[in-house]
Parts: sequence; structure tokens; C-alpha cells
Amino acid sequence: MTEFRTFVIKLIVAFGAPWLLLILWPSISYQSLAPIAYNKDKGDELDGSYMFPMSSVNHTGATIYAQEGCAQCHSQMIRPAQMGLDAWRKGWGQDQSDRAAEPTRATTLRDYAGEKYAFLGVSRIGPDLANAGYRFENSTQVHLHLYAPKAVNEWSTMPSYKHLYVVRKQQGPESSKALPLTGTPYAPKEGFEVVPTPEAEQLAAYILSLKRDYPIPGSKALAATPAKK
Amino acid sequence: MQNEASTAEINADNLRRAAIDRSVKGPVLFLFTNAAFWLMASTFMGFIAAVKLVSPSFMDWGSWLTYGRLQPAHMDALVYGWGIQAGLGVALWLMARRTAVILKSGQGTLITLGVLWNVAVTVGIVGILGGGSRSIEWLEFPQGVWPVMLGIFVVYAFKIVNMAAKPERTEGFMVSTWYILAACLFFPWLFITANTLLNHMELGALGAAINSWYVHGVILLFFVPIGVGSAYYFIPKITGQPIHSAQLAQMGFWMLVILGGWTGMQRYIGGPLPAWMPSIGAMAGVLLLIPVGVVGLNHHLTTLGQHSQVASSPTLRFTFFGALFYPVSGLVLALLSASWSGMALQFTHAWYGYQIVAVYGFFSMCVFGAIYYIVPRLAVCEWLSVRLIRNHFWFSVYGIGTIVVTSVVGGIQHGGGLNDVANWNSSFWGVVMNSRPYISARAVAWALILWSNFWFLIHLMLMVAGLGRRSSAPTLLSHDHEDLPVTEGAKA
Repeated sequence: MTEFRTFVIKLIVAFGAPWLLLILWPSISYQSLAPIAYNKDKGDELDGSYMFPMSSVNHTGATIYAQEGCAQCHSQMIRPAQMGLDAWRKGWGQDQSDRAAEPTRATTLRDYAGEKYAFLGVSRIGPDLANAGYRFENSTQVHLHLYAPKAVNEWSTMPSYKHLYVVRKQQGPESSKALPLTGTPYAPKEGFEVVPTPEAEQLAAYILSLKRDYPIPGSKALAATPAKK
Repeated sequence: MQNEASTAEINADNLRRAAIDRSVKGPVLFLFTNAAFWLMASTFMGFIAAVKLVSPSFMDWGSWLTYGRLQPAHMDALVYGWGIQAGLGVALWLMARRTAVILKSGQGTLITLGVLWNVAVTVGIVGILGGGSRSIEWLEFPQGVWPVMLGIFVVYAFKIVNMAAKPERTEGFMVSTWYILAACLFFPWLFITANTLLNHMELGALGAAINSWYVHGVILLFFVPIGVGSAYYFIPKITGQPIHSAQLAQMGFWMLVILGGWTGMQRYIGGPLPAWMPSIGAMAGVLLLIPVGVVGLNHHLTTLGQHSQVASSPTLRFTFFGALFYPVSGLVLALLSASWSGMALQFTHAWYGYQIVAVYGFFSMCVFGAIYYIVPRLAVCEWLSVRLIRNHFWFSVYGIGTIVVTSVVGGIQHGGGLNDVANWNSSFWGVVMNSRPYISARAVAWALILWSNFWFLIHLMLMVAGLGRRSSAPTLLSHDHEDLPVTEGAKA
């Protein structure tokens, strides 16, 4: 009996250590994660403080993102430039041009502040979405991608999220929300139009709100400092 | 005189064993049968999900079959429907036998709770497919399901731990008991921690890290202990050899328990976390090679010279190959953890390969071995068909081997597509096209496994219904029990 008790205590200690130090303590200290103030003396161009402005992230949209399991194929994190191609990949940052002047900066803990659970992702079967808000110009582009992925890239293996859209009979002039679909098999029949459901609108708003590249306080000063030999 | 006494002892022993078996029969057989059903369901969903990864319009029957819902449903059915359920069954029987405790009461409660567990898993899977997924890996079930599952698990675990706390028999080497106790303690701990934190706290990116810790924890501290515990029980039992080294067994156990809880966050190496978190996970993930290697070595030394029995005993055959997959899963984990290979394999198909090699290749093969041993003793009849067991074995080995190899090799290519600097400008066309052959192979492998799992389920149900062979000789794979003339059998 005492042998049994010692054994169980040993088990508890062995697992309790990582549980406390790796899980519990960081979770508690995360609750007091504070924004960092910008400092013009250090070369920051912005006022206020740095923390991803989560008021702009659409929480209902995040729920739809979870329900549809988007994170199975899309990640939402940018690794530092020395750890993989993320930072230089075309279109993964703010600069959508062919040759971005600067690498996209790596995402930090504060970029996800205010999100209950950040969908860092399971795999990258599709492109990263950490800065997807810059990739799409407007919600119509997002809707086209969600409704008919193959109309955007015919090799795409992304499923069509048709169930988030309604095909309805056109009444009067075309709705301003109707998707500009062309060609078979994507375009609806003559006299019909495809419009997003509220869920689709929320999801699109969420995707458009993903912009995780606010300047980090002091980063300019850091970049300007010549490297020490 | 002495001879007579020992005969009487053996008889008493046998009677005791039969009484133990009878006392856990109901719950254990219930868990096995339902688990086998979920295994088949999971295999089926894995097959469709793999096809959909190549051709998303396959079975385009509405929202509930899109990849983003199907894939988590496939994994959750494998983990909670099959893995934990079958694992509990093995743990309950094994602990009763190890400690020689007859389960005196509560069989009815255990079966009722088993029914509830299956209801909870069904609600969870239907919830995911119906659009209630939370997209937290292995915790996708809609809220409200997890407290039920936790409660049921705790009752089972309590029964099992209680046997170990008040054993009727204390002699013998206790290594499988340790592993099962660890699994019973750690799963509820992991489950309650992950669910409470991720449901009730705002954790941002830290949440994803905790999720990854949970997934690794369930693999390393539930599936691995049950699998290794079962292997440590059946390998000596069937070969008749004692475990080669007690020191190696101790070392393998304690290193696993100590390192397991630190593993997981390396999955998001380079991610938005304090750098020490993924680093410590990477270190633990690589160091785990030591306990994995130690256990592998111990099993190897125990089975040395007994390989003919691997050919004839179904239990030993499955357990032996399960035990072989343990070092393989450790190796894949180390590849995913070490920073240079980990960054190359991050977010690739290799991650799926790891989950499958750990949960299916290693754990499930050990559990199949256990089931082939336990069920005839509980149902009091022998397995009907050598051919079905052989089919099950070969389809599983080749199927899982295919999935693991294509996922890891495909993962290396996938990682190249993601990280090769030449691709800075390319679309995902290359990644999609290069993955195609590997994913197609995965789909074919799941289809083959589905076929064998279907027959496994039928075979198991016939046994549970008491329709097995009435014979005092166990069903062995080396000779046919069919009514063949001896000469013909010898020729074949």
C-alpha cells in the first residue's frame, strides 16, 4: 500500500512539474499581458501602444472559421525569416507586390491578444492566412474564393462552401451583394443570382480583418542600429 | 506428493483466472465491440477525407462532408471512439488479471457508462459534421460533451486504480501495472486541463500551444502507456520468457513519464510564443528517443529466439509489430521535434503521419493483439477463422505502413514546396500537385484497412455473441484448424 502511494506521488510530481511550469503559470501570466507603448524617441512612427487591435477582428466570423474547420488546411502564423520561407513568400504580408521591399515580420504573442483561441493551424495544405486581410481587396473576392475556389485557381483542392451561399431568383435589379460569377459551371442560371448568407458575410469580414503586422515598438530603432562586429 | 499439490495449485489458479474473467466480461466485451465499430467508422471517414483532399467534389453531398469537418471527425472517432474505449477495456482486464482482483460489483454501472460514452462520442461526431466544431485539435467536439466523457473515464479509471491499490496478488513484476496506472491518472488530468483552459480562458496563441501539448500528452501519456503496458504483459506471457531487464523497464517508464508532459509546443516552433516553450518541447521530443529505444531494446531482447511464436500466435504477432512501431513513432516524433527537420516538416502531412503511426501503427496494433487474447477467454470460445485474422494483420500492417511512409515522405516534399526559397513567388499549385500521389496512396490504404476492419468487426461480434469455435485449442496462425486432411495441410 505504501509502495502504491509512493508510486502515485512520483507520477504526480513527474507530470505536475510541466503542468505547472509549462501550462498553468504561462496561462495565468498571459492574462496580464500588457500592450507596449510606442515611443517616438525610439523611432516609432505611431502613437498609442502596440497590441493587435482586436476590436477589428470579427468574433462571429472566427466561430464560422472554426465550424468549417478552415484551420485544417490554413495556418495563421509567420515564422521569422531565418526559419523557413514564410516571411518572403509573396502575398503573405502587407506588401502584395512581386518583390516586397521587406520581409513580413514574424507574428508575436500580442498579435493574437483578444482572441479566445488563435487558429495557428494544423497544416499548410493552403496558404497562410495570418495577413489574409491584405491579400483580398474586398469581400467580393473572398466570397468568390469561398463559393467557387476552382473558378479562382482551377487546380485548387479547396472545397466549395456553397452551403454558405444562397442561389435565388433575381427580383428586379441584381442585388449589390450578388457574386460576379462567370462561365459554367460556376455562374447561376439566367435570371438567378448567388448571394452570401449572413454567416458567409461574417466569415469574409473575419478573413479581411486578419492583419497581423502592426509595427512592433522599437523595431525601427533596432533595424537602424548597425550590427556589431 | 509434490506433483499433486502443484496440480491443485494450478487448478485453483485456473479457477481464479476464470472468475476474474467472468467478473469483467460484460464491460470489456461491450467496450471492445463498440470500439471496433468506431474504428470502422473512423477508417471510412479517413478514406473519404483522403479522396476529398485530391478531389474536393467527391461525394459532394453538402456541408457535413467537407474536408474541414470530416478530417477532425475522422481523428476524433479514432481517438475517443476507438482508442480510449478499447484502451479502457484492455486496461480493465489487464489490471484485474495483474492484481488477481475479482470485480465484485458495478458491472451494470460500467456498461451503462459505456453506453453513455458512445452516446457522447456520437453527439460529438454528429456535432462536428453538423457544423459545431471548435477547431481545437482532438477537442473539436461541441462544448458540453467533454464533462460527460471526463466523468465516465474517471469512474472507469477509479475502478482500475482501486484494483492496484488493493491487490490480491503482489508478487511478479509490475511493469504493465505502472503503465496502466499512469494512463488512468494522466488522461483525466490532461483532458480537464485542456478543456478548462481552452473553454474558459482567453489564451490567444498560447491556446494553440496548449492544444498541441494536449495532443502529444494523450499520445505519450495515454496511448503509449496502454500499448507498452499491454506489450509488457503479453510478450513475456506468450513467449514464456521473463522480461529481459528490469532496469531497462524502469528507465523506459520513468523517462517517458518525466518527458511526456514537456512535449508538444515544438509543433509551433518559430511561432508567436515565448521561445523557451517550443525549445523545451523540441528537447523533450528528441530525448524521448531514449525511453523509446530502451523499451524497444527490452522487447527485442525478450522476444529473441522466440520468433517462431510470432508467426503462430495472433496476439504475439500483433503485439510484436505494434512494439516495432513504437520506435518508429519515436523516430517520427524526433524528426518533427528537432529544429532543423521540425521546421522543414512543420505544417506538412508528416504531422498526420505521426498521429497515425502513434495511434494506429503502435497503439492499435498492441490493442488488437490484446483483443485476440482477451476475447476468447471472456466469450469462452475460440476465434473462428485463421484467414480473417491473417487478413486483418496483413492489411493493417501494409495499410498503416503505407500511410505512415507516404505521409512522412510526402511531408518532406510538402515541406520543400513550402520552404524552398525558389518558391517565394509560386502559388500552391506545386504543393497541391506534389501531394497528389501520396494522398491517393493514403486513400487506397484506408480503403484496404476499411475492408479488414469490417471483417474484424464481424469476427468480433460473432465471438461476443458466443458463436466462436468450441474448442480447447486456441486459434493459431501456423496451422489450419479447418477440416483438411493432415497430409494436404502439410503440403500447403
